[in-house]
Amino acid sequence: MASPPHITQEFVSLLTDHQEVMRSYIISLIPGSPDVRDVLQEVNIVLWEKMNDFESGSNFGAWACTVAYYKVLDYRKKQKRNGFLVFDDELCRSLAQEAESRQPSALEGKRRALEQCLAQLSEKNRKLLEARYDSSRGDMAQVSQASGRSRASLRVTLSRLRATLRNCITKRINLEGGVA
Amino acid sequence: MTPEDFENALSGLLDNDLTPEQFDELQKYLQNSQQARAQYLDYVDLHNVLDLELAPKAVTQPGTSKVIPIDRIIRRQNRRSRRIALAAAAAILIIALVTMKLFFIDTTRPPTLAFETSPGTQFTITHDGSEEAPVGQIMEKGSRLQLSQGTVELTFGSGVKSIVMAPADLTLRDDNQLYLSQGTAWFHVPKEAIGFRVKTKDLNIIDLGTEFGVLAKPNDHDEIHVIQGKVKVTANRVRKESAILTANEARRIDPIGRLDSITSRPSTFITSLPKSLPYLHWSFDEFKNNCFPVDGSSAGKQLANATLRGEQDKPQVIQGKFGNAIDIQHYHQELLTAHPGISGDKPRTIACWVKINRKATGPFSRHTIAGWGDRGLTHHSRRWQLAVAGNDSGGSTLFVAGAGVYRGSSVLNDNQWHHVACVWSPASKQREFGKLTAYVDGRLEPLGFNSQNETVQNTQTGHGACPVVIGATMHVSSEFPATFKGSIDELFIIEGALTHKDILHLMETNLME
Repeated sequence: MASPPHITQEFVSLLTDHQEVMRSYIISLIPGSPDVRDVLQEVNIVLWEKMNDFESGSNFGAWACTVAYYKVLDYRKKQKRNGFLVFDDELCRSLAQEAESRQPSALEGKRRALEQCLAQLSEKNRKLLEARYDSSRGDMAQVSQASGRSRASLRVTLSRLRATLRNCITKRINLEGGVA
Repeated sequence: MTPEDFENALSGLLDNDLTPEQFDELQKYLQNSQQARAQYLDYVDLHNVLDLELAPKAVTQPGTSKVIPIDRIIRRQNRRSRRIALAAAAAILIIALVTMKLFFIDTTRPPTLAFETSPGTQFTITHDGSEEAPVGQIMEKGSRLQLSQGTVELTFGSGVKSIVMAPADLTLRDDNQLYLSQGTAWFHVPKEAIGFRVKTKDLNIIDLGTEFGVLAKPNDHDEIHVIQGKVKVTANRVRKESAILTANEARRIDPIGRLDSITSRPSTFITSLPKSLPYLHWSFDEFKNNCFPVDGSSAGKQLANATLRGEQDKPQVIQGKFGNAIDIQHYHQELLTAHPGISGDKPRTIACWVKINRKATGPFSRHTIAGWGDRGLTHHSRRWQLAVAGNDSGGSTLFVAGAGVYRGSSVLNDNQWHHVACVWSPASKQREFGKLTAYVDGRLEPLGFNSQNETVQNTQTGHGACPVVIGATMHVSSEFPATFKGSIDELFIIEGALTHKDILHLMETNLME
């Protein structure tokens, strides 16, 4: 590629900054999918290949999310054919429009707040969350078996923990004067 | 839906733990309420940051990887001033793991790659004229490595590992891009280095987190074989066909740039640096599963187990120089393999022990010890054959066909074990000739030419050519068999030109390493 170096630096910086935003965007359109990372990989490849198409100063997030949207559409078609549950097209379009305005700074703020909120959880609850997000330990069925809890009990507990963390994050961000 | 039900449903959705009915109900609720959608997106953000924060961190090798977790970088960016370093060449951003990693390349220092070679490897390295060319087995951007024999292991700063077999010609374009002009190369790309590229004259390959092999052939179409994971491959010719390949898929480019599906052959590639030049070795110590098993480190060695031509026959096994040996007296006792042998002009050595106890049949009758290639008797440059033939006094002497026809002078049919070897070293420069050398009992054997001076070696392998045979007739017809009629022990076929010292070592220890 023959891009002038300063655009390359800017592009890499923007791409780096927007990884979490893109990831959230993709998850919102295909929630529960184990292939979010793969889709994000493909989006990054396309963005990199189309680096010269990006105009410096324009809305990188919107551009990247547009690319992600079409990758997600392809993915959803395959998932549908294979009998998986996917959002219908209309809901997907609505979510896509509403999700693309997220800012990297907002997610970074949530991440900072989450660190502190996690520290307030009991050891038991933190371990449960870690088990859920440790992909090497398997899916909910395996987490349920390993923890000795029923699936229903596990579902309720995780839901309550997430609600607790959400409230905690919102409070912390408001205290810092940021935007939740 | 109550707020609590909604939260529970969102939690279940992100855990992939909803029934179809629950999913439909949630979907309707989201469709009908913008506030619900906003809450859902907030929930997704929480799920995303939880995943990034709590998923296990990948381990990187200290001192070899320049990858650092992106979450640490982003936090640093907010606490201090932003600091991003890029190489002068284009840097490819690697796809984040669950903990999100980022490549940082120091702009003041070009990317480097360290390489190791297996014993016996011969290579040349050139750099792009930089005043501060690296010393030792290091490559930087623009460095070119040409391998004439042996194997090299490349370790990239990104953690990518590659094993490349000679003959090979490769150039490091940047820390994440290699140009492979020629060679058989295996790559392992860790998750931190996804996006790594390999280019050949025909193919443009982008790794998507995987293990794959590339065959870059100067006079044939290039191939990509995916062993694990996923790659994106694009053809460089007219049609520029592109595909994403997954494990056990393989493609070969065709003349107009389409990607033809071919059988995946992972055994073509080796995945660790061998302790010697690649080789095949038959000890003949045991006959099991109807074959003499081969050992060694050459790719495709599973094709080289030796079976009898007469499938119902039993081998004649005798006491050898080391352990047992094979005695071949009849056509049906000849040993066959399915291994194609070493092709073209590549360096090679055949070495073994032989014992012959019979009068030679005549100067024009050659009896193969081991060989492969063209089945005809006139194109000597297209086969590689170590054999014995008669001299004018009833003695058997060495006969070598390959880049001409050569005859030795040492008499071998005295019922004693003799170590014999023949070596081909291709020319290192254009307009020079390659060199054929032979040894008997560790001494250089003087060779005489017995045909026109063909000094070009171009061994044919594959379709129509004779695969590696041992003590066996190479031409198709059984009407005039050329059975060895003697005993053979510890046969080595080596993908490289051994030196005199190497031949002595092999003769004395029977070991390649």
